[in-house]
Amino acid sequence: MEQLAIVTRNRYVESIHHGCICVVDPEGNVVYKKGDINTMFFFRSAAKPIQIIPFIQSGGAKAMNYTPKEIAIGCASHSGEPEHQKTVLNVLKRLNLDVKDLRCGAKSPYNEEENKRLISHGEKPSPLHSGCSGKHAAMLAYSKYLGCDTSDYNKISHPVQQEVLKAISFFSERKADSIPIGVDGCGLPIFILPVYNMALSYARLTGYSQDPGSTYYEACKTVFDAMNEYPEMVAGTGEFDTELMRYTNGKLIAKVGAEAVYCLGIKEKNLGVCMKIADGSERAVYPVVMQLLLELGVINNSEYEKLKHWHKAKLLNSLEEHIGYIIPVFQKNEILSLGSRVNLNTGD
Amino acid sequence: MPQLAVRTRSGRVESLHDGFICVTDSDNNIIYSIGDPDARIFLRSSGKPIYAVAYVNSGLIEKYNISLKELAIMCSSHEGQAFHRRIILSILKKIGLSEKDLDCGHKYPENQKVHDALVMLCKRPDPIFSNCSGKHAAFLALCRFYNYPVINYTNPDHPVHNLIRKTMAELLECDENEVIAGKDGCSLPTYFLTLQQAAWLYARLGLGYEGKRKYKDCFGLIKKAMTEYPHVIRGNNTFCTDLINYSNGRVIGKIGAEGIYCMSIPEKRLGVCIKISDGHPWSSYPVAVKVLEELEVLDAATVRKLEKWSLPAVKDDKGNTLGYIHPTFSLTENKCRSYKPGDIYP
Repeated sequence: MEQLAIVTRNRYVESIHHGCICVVDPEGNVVYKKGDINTMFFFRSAAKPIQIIPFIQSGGAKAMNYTPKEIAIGCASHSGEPEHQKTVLNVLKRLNLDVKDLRCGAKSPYNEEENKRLISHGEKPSPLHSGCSGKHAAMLAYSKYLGCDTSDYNKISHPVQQEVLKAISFFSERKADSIPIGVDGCGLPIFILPVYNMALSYARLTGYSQDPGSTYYEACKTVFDAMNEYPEMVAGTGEFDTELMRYTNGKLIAKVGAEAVYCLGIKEKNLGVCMKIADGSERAVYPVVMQLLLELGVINNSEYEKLKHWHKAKLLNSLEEHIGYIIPVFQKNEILSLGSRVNLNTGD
Repeated sequence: MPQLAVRTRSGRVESLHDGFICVTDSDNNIIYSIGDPDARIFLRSSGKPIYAVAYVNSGLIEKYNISLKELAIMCSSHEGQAFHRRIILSILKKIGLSEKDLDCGHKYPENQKVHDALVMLCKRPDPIFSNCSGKHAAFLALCRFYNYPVINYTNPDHPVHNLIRKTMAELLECDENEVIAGKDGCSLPTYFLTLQQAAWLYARLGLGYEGKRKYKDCFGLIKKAMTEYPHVIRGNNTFCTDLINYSNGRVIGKIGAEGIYCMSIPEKRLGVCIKISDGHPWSSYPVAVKVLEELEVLDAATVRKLEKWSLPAVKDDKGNTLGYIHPTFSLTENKCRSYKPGDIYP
C-alpha cells in the first residue's frame, strides 16, 4: 500500500492513511496509479451506478416510469433527508409495495438534522432512512418488471442479482465466476474486484455514455445524466459526492463506498478512477480525491474555490480550535513516518 | 508498517490496520516490540493517569479532601453518565468553583443514552459532558492549590502547564525542553512521547507503591483509584471499564484518541503502548487483548467475557454478523501476518 494521506497535529504526523489509486481509460490503459492496482477490494456502494444499469438496459426503468430523479436515488448512498425518503416512498407506492418490502434494514440517517429530529421525537429510523433504500427500491422495481418474486430480491440466486452480476462482470471485464461475492451492509450481494477493474467499469460507463454507437449508450447516459441532474439525491445536503457533482457542472460522476472506496467517471478524458483507503477511513477519502482531480487537471479554479474545504481538511477540536490537517501526500515522493515533523505548505 | 489487525467481511479481508506496539518493564527495558519503539505519538487521553502524578504530588488531594473516586475521574475519559457528572461537580464544589469554570468545549458524550437525552432537549452539551471534564476539574484544582489564575487555564503558557511539563520531565528523567506538547481535542496540551516512554510510564503506574523511582507513591494512589473505580474511568459497557473490572485490576487500560491504547500489567511489572497508525478508534481493543493473551495475563474465562471487544463484530444494518476485526500479529514471536485486502481469512 502507498502512503496517500497524513493526519497532522501541531505540524507532527499523528496518523497515516495508506491505500491504492488507479485511473484508466475505456480501453483499459492505466493513466495514473499508486500502489498495486491488482489489489482486491469490496466495491461496496461505489458499485451502485453499475448495479442499476441492467434495470435501465432491459427496458425495466422505462416500463416502471422511472424518472431521472429516481434513477439518481437508485445510484445513491443518500443521507436520509425527507426528500430522499419521499422519493423512495413514491417508487414503492407506484409498485404497490410497502416500506417493509425493503430488505435493507433500518439505519440511522447520515443527515444530522434528520437524525436529531428522529431522536428528539423518540422515533426509530425506518428502512427509508437507509442510504441504500433507493437501490433496494430499484431492485424491487426490476423484480416486478421481470415478473419475479419480490420477497427474496436480496439473494444472489435471484434473477435481479444474477443480471447485476452479469453487468458488473461485463463493465469490469472480469469473468462472473471469478468475482468473489460477499454481503454488503444493506444485506445485498457485493463484489470483490481489483482496483484496476473497478476503475475500468467507471471508464466504460463514462465512455459509453458519450458513444451513441454503443449498445449501452442510453443506459449509461441515463445514469451519468441523472446523477448530475440530481446530485442531492445521490448523497445529500453538504455531502462530498453531491457537492463535487453540483460544482463541476456535468464533468463527472462521483460515488463513495463504505470503508473508504471511491470511484469517479470523468467525461472530458473518458477516465475511470478508483481509490481506496486501506484502513477504511472516510476522512482521508475527500482530500485524496480532490488532490487527484487536481493532478489530473479535471477541475478549474472557480470549481476548486467551491470545493477546497474538502481538499484542505482542517481538523478542529471541541473548542473549534484549529489543531491540524488531513493532507494528501501521494503526489509527493517523500514517505513520512509517524511522529515526523511536517514541512508542507498548507496554504494557511 | 507492521500489520496489527484486519477487518473481514464475508470471510475475506476488507480493511487493514497497521501500527506499533511497545512493551517495557519498569526499568525501561524493552521486553517486546513491533515496529519502531522510538516513534513519537501524542499521548492524547492516555496521558491522563500520568498527569495525575502532579495532582497527587501537590498535596491537593489532602487539602481539598479529594476521594479516590474523584481521583479516578481525574484520570478518566468518561462517557458523560450522570454519576460521572456528579463526581465532577463534587470536585468543583470542594475547590470553590463551578461548572462554568470548565473550559473543555461543547462535546457530545459518547454514551448513547446520554447523547440522545441531550438531543431530545435540543440542548448543546455543557462542558461537563466532555470526556475530559474530569481532567479539567483536576487542572482547576491545581490552579486553586497553587494560587494560579483560574482564567485561561487551557492556555499553553499558563503556569499550570509548566508544572505538568516539569513533572513529565522528571518522570521521563529527561530535560524539560525535550518534553514536546501539542494541543489536544479539549484544548489542553498533549505530550509527544515515544512509544517506549509511554509504555515505561504505564509500567511504573502498574507497579505503584512497589516501584523504586520518584513519584512511586503518587502512582500507587492513582493505581488504587483506577482499579477500585473502573466504571468511573470510562463508563458502562466500554472496553477500559470492562478490562479493569473483569481482570480484577490485573490490567489497567486507558484509551487515547487516534488509535492509542496504554496498559499497565502490575504482576508482570510491564507497561504497554499501542498505536494504530491510521487512528482507528476501536481496532486497538482486539490488539490489546491479544497482547494480554500472549503475555498470559488473562485466563480463558476473562478473555471470553471480553469477546465483544477482543473480536468486534462487523454487522449489516439488520444486525447480522458479517465479519470481525482480527489481530494478525504475534508479539512474543515479533511476527505479523501481512494479509492483503481480498484475501480469504482462514
